[in-house]
Amino acid sequence: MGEAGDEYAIAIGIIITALVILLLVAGITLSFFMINKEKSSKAIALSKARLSYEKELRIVENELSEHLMQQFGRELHDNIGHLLTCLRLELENRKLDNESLFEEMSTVDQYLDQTTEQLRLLSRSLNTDYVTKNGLVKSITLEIERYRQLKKFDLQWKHDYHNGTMDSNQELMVFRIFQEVMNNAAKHSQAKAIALHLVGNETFELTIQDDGVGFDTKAILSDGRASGLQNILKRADMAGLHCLISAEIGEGTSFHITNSTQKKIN
Amino acid sequence: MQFVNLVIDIGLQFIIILVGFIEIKRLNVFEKFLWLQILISVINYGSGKLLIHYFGYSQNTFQYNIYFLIEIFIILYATYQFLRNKGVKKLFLIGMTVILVAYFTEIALTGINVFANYSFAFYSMFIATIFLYILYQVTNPRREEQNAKAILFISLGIVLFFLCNAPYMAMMNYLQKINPVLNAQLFHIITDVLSNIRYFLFLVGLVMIIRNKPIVQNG
Repeated sequence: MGEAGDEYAIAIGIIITALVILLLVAGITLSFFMINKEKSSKAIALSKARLSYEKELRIVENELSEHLMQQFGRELHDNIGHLLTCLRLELENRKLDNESLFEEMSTVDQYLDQTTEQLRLLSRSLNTDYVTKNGLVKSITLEIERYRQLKKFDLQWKHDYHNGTMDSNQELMVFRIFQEVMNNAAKHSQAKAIALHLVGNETFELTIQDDGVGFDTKAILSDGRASGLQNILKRADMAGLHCLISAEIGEGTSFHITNSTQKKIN
Repeated sequence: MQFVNLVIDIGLQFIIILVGFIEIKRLNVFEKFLWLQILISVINYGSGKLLIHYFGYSQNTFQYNIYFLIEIFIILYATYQFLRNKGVKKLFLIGMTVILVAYFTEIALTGINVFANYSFAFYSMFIATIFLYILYQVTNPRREEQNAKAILFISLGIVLFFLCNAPYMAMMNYLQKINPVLNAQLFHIITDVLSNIRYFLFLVGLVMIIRNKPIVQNG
């Protein structure tokens, strides 16, 4: 009887130990959660602070770059434009002095006209006030006109945009994105044709598609070479827009900027 | 009670094996090996029954000793794949080596027909400690584990099973000698119930993995 009692005491002891361990494990797991929850909330607060700092930094960067572009545009218009006007006057004076120069200087005349026109368009496109005052469609049209004169590629431009779809800051951002995309296309794409389509009523969509050499988006974005692409994504993010970049080597490139919730990089 | 436990046990293991087999591509190495351990456990259980009922063996403890050794290597590989900290990996390897030494010493001393319960008790506590560490890791947001919640459930099941089982396992052979009936009852009360909890939590984790994760192509 005594032995049997001992055996059962051992059995009950084992069961109680198992139950105590069970409770202990539950307690330990709960404490892990609490410790890590605290860590997690601290990490979230830190990352929020970092995000807000980065956002502020981007805004400052953007304001600075807009200011610089505006100044640059004004300098181009006032200074270089003035010098070109002087050059034109000088040329006209020389031609008046010597009539034979009319024929000889005709090519120089043409180049001078083109340079003046390009300068005028460029200085306007760099001017923030111009974009804000004239709106997105007119500003893009002006920039397209400038590219058409360069005769680098065929440009197809379709738009159905109602003013008020976006505020002036967003429009300025979209215009800068458009400029960056066009600049990239002119420098790297070897494209023969670029199609642009702007839609803005309830939703906003801007599609810029070229038939150039394309690129590996993920590789370029991950190795940090593409500051232009990074700028495009940053600007889109700042304007609360989504930028879809679809590119494949040999298959051309397409930028799709929208205010809808789709966001993807191919 | 014993019958209900058995039905739940077999049912859970069957579902785990079936689900794991169908969705094997969604599991990473760690998860695959934990699933494999359950598969081998079922094979071991089934073949044990066959040995006794169809081949006339009086006992199949030697088979459980062999299974224990296989389980050590499966858990060793799975856990080694999960751990990232080199120091912890080294400690884990040292611990597993000590367990293997203890296991072979115990087998040499008591024979293959006596379950190596002291090694198993030590192994249980060691594995529970390691999985408590894993539990801590997966609750840590900095680890950014893809299936943190699923691994949490699986690890919790393993910790509960091994840690709560350790006291019984340490006393198992002694109880078997003095009161085999009581020992069998305790086995059903403790090991079977804990086994059911472990497999249930594993199944919950497995379902979470399948719902959350795309197919893993390599590894």
